[in-house]
Amino acid sequence: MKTLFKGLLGATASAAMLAGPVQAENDDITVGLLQDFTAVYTFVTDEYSQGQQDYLNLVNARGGIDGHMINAVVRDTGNEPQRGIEAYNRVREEGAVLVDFLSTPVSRANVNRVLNDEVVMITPLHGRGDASDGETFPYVFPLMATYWSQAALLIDYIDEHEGGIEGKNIAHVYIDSPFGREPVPVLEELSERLNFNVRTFPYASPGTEQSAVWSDIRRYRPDHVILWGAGGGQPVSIREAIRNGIPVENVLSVVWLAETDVDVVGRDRATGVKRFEAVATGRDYPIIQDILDEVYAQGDGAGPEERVGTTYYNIGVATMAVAVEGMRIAMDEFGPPMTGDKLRQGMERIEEFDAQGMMPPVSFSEQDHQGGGFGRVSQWDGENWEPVSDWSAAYQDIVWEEIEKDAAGFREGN
Amino acid sequence: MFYRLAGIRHTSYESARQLYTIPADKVQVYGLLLLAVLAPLYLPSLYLNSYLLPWLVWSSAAMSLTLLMGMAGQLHFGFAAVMAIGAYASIHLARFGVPFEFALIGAGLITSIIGTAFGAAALRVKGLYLVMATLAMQYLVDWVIINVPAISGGAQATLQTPEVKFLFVPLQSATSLYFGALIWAVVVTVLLLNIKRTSMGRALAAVRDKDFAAAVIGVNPFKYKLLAFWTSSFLGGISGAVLAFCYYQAVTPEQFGFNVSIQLVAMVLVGGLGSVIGAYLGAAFVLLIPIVLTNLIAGLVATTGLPISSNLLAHIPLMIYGALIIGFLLFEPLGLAKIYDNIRKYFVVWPFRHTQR
Amino acid sequence: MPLLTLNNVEVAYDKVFLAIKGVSLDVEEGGMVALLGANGAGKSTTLKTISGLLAPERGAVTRGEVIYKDTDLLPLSPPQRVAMGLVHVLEGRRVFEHLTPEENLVAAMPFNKPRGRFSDLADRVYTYFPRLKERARTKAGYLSGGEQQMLAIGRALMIEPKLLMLDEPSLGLAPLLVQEIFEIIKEINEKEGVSILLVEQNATAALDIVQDAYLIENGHVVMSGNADVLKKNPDVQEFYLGGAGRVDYHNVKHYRRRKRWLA
Repeated sequence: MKTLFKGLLGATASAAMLAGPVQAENDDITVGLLQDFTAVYTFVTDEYSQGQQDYLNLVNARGGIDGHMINAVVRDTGNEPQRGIEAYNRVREEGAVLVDFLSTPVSRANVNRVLNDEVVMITPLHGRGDASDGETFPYVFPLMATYWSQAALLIDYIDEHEGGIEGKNIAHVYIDSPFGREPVPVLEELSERLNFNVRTFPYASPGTEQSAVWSDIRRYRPDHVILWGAGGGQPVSIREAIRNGIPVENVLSVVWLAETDVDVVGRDRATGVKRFEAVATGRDYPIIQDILDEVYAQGDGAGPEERVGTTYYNIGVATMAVAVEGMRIAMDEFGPPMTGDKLRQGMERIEEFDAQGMMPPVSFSEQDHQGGGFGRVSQWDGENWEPVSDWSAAYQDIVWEEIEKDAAGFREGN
Repeated sequence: MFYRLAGIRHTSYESARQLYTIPADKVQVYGLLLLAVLAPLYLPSLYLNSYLLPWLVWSSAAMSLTLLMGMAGQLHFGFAAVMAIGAYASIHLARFGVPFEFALIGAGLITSIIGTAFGAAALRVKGLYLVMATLAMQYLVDWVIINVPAISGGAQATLQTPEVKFLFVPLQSATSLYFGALIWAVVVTVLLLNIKRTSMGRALAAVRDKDFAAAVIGVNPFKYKLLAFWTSSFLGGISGAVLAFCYYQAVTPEQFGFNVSIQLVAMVLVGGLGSVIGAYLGAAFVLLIPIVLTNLIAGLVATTGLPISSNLLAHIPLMIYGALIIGFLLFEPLGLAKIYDNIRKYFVVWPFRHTQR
Repeated sequence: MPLLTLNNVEVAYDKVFLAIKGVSLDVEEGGMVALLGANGAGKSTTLKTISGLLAPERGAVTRGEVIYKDTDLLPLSPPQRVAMGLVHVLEGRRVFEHLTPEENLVAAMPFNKPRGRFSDLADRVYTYFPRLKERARTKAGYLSGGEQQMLAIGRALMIEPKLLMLDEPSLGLAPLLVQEIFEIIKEINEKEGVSILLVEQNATAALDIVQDAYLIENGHVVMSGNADVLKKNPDVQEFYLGGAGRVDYHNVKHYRRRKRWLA
């Protein structure tokens, strides 16, 4: 009994000592990468986080931003809002100016907090799409094409490169969740404008079993299928499409389709599948080469070297490249120390930034926190993702209608 | 150490039945209450808002569940849905302009009506089959919230809590939010501590231990099972509302998903079925241990400079957490409350080793 | 050398509540011993200590030793103890209600015995309890109380025990049936040479068939010895045998009679 007591006391004491927030050193810039390594977003987080950390290491190895080092706090939130809130409050006390949760539930739970605390929250490819409205959400930056922009661009691609879309049947196959439903209004608006048919086919989360849905889809005889899922459901969708006689070239996916998914389907069988791409994949870009030369050659990589250049890795690099660009501008304009407000203004002044060719040229403004909604379509050739269209943005008028509608809802408390 | 039973003699049934038969217990409880009331003065805001506040709210929820699972013996694997109904109902009521105090009570009533309707299944089924019935509630409620935009708050499925006043104090500052949660936790605690001493508490225990034996001594199992569902859903609904208003401040369906139900059951089981202190300890274990471990391990790695990948780093706390759950349950299958009870008994009979029955 | 020896055994429930404090007893090979005492005296706890069933009730042996055939029993699990020929018939007739009596017997058959032995052993049970044979194909849950008790004892016989521990076999049975069952127990003891440790409330019936008896009160053994000697002890007569049946109401003392042993 006494040993138990002593053990409890000792554990509490050591926990109290180690777990207290550590104030960042003088004028370092702290960013919180508080992501879900263990629950739902595991399919992307490892590579994504490795890319982010590697890029920050590269910046630090080159002397930081005017000598200010970037201090990244990486923590697991397990996709749980309450853990995300704790992690956020902690890094905020440590002086963080930017946070990235890579989790829609956690980001949503923290929207009001970052707006009150003036901390920049980036929500690339997750979170609220309507946060693109910078006037309503001054501290939230979706950074990359929202799901609405992605849907619009995929439709535009079919129209431009697959022989026109008029009169065709489009099947929207999605995971039954707010994320899967998000592009539906844009698709419906476009179907009226461009005169094509669209039908929605939800499958139950998590999507490991979809056969019932796909026999309906086969009966619908779609010309093209748009997949709106993430993680484990994606390879299942592609396999079902093949099994139901839908040519794999006619399957287009939301941004969440990567090497790991085609590995599950089979690299050869998946050949031809297309996807939206927000950031280029592969190692043929100066930033990636610099990371290999200056970070991995020193043995400072944040993970296995073979992951460098994969889809989600490059997305991670791109997010930090944009963030660091914003910090540079902020530092030039306003000088140290860095604050959330300065960083926000810095990021709003980014113009035509393309991370040395790795991503489409994005520009932000006080109104537009999406960066233009650019992207392109790439196709799996059995080895690599080959781009089949140029960087572009499509139907931003419709996208912005949606953004403004939901942002207005947010102002009213939704 | 002192001999806590010395000089304590109960000479009437009344005194033997009082809430604290040992004065030391009373002193401890009031001491803790004082510490909790003064917490905003000495606790940094990080610990107040990210640890103590959610802990209090989740403890209230766990106590509501332990009333049903521990005291009345009815399994419930959809308690997050109960909290969801309370959270959404209170927000919509408050938006209609209902004063917050009444919105809370209204949310509790709505929750208890829906919760009791599903609980009616308990009259027919027991054990694992009741688990299925309550799971159905979880999925149905989830589905309705996600698919009815008027409830969930439109395409982004987010509903912010409106600004409200509780007893003329606006619920905005960190301290007022904390006291909101504290008041509710105290109310639930007092209710649960006393419910065991009432005829209802004894009836619930009778129904739990053997419902037909309860029937032959004149306790109506039909009535008391429904009453248990009613009370527990009422408390759970208000706990959900308090969670929404005092902690999350914006509700989304994921905050009340199936995994949250499992966490609640885990809180009750790890803490110890039917125990109030167990609800507190269980909530602390399930809610706070993963957070503390994550920070602890990250701090250790940062100070020692061990080369560990962020992926492994994220999973080590999970492994330790899992090992802790198994370890504690092996050490004491009746939960953390039983460990506390053993320690307490040790001191109650100290300096002797045993007492006679 | 006795078959079973309990030496100053102390058992605490829930780490705090002391149930028996210093019980010592011997059961000779082929002997028949009764353990008498009032409710809550610690009789069942003593039996559970021997068969190893304390753990599920949060009990633990805190002191003393239990020696069976020169082996310390305490570190062994209940199934290991059964394998050594030590079987405990629980209080309250715990038969497998959804199986027939025959299936109950099959369930008790150890795996390591040849299958052919089953019919021998079952026949033996049926000779002691002919009524079980008549009802061999009805569900055990539908048997009467006496038949269930017979089944519980018969099931214990399937492992060919060396020591049979019976916890209140007379519980809830009609007096005639008690007599019948006790005679069968005596027969088993005499014919098979099985040692028997009998826990009973019904002291009259028990003292008639056993050789030795122990009297437990409040967790202590307060008296022990030959059954006939115990039967003649006036205190035992007064407190356990109902005043030997003759009460002279003119001489009833109007104060509570004290026991002459220290409890």
